[in-house]
Amino acid sequence: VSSSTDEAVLDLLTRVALALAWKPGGAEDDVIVKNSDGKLSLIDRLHGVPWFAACTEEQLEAVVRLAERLHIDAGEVILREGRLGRELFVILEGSVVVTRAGRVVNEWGVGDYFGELAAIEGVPRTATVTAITDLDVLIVGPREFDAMMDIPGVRNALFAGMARRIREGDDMLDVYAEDEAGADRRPE
Amino acid sequence: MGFMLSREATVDRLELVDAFKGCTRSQLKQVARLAERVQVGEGEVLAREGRIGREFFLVLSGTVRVTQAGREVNELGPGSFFGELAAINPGIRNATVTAVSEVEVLIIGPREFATMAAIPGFRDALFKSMADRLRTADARLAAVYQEGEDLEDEPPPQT
Repeated sequence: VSSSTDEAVLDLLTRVALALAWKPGGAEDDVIVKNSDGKLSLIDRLHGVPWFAACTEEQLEAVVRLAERLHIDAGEVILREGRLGRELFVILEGSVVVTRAGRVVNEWGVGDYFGELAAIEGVPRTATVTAITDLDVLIVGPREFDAMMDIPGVRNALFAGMARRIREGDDMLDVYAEDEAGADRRPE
Repeated sequence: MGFMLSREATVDRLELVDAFKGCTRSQLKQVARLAERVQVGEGEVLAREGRIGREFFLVLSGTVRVTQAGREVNELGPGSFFGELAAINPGIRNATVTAVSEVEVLIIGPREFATMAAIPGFRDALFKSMADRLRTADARLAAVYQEGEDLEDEPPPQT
């Protein structure tokens, strides 16, 4: 194994990590208005979540009715790989670390969501998620998830996020397969 | 590209498609209204890798071949669908799809696709199929990751 191969592997791993890390983003610059007491209302917080960017006020209110808001202490394990559970989580404040088979694969923060695959399919959790800081999260149960998917802005944004992640994952795998085979890259 | 069958006949056919199992007959009528049903001959290309395309396809009868960079990656039969990523997010086709027999397909444009995705039966089938693909991709990437780590674990080369 030469050092250039090591670099290639490292480069590949970086790209894999980035692919795994992909989450919809882009609306973080939204101005968030604080209430007179300096605290953000739940609706204000939802305005800062890219997933809900296309929602009207009424749709955000529907989301608030369907979801539960919870405080989680730093260090608590929210999901455990291999366990059953169908809740979806949206981070309103704080950050989490994502591990698979003990390896850190990701870190997520405000506006990110996780648990959607289990919410859709009812399959065991594919990763362990642990709170790094105190967390303010929104929890959506499976029944409420279905109701939330009736809201066009929420549904379409989830479809779009998943479609993008599939494309990015496929691209990463293509790069890997082609590096393996020593084949020419396909034109992007 | 060929003829269109009656809407009722299309609905009858849709009832046999897995992705529409959760749909009521009136919802299927809605799907039939949104979609165009066409017949294509053997050898015709439905989607071409690298090209922009935004239609969603659902195979009603016959078989199509999926190729990437000239390599066959899949064959799809009745009830299969493809093109959902492009229908959701504009982008280039990641594969070429060619009819390998007489094929009957439903073609749905992006706007109609968004309407169709609101029908709970189809929406759920679509979510499941996409979640499956995501999990498969994640698992394969994790395997690549693991392989990379195993490489790192190897003793340093003798120089």
